[in-house]
Amino acid sequence: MIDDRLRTILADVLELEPGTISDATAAGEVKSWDSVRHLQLVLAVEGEFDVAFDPEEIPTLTSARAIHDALAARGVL
Amino acid sequence: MLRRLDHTGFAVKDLEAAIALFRDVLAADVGPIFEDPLQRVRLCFASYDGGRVELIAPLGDDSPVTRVLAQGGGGTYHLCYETDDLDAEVARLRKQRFLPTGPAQPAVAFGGRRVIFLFHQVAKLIELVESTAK
Repeated sequence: MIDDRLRTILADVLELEPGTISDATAAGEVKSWDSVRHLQLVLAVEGEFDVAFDPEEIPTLTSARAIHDALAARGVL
Repeated sequence: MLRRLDHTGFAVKDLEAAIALFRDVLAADVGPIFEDPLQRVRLCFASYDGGRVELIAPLGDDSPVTRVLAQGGGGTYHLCYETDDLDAEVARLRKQRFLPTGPAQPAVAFGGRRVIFLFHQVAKLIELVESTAK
């Protein structure tokens, strides 16, 4: 199940209704999730959870599940 | 630390047309055209006494400049700064909420010196280029 803070960030940055967001929410399926919003999203996640993603990892964070897993791997979820 | 502003990045769809505009109308000294397969761009510099503009066109549909053109129609989209220590500068900017858009890579237009792009919510897209080949 998606973390509430992550859901809020996804909703705010991608301008989505929070209730429409699930683990399966992904860049390829959300029109507003373009390359600039992706960077804004990663910055927002880093700020909220006080983490710093590796440059090679940032392009892979293209779904709610992928972001969740990356945060879980850092022990913040 | 950042040494100086190296150039302004200017995205164009048609590089040859942009070269003609900057050379013939905007009085720039235009240098050679480079193709950079890593950055997926074709580019050249339009130079003036006070600075230079990097004219950048996409090299294929998977070029990052293709997305820039699709989103904003082109024009000025990044500022490039020269730095003596690229890795230290990335680490410093990382703490100021600048986000790398990918790893540092050697750039053909800079003789193989590494460049990296970083995004910031306010500063938007900046590029760093190291001052000497390492």
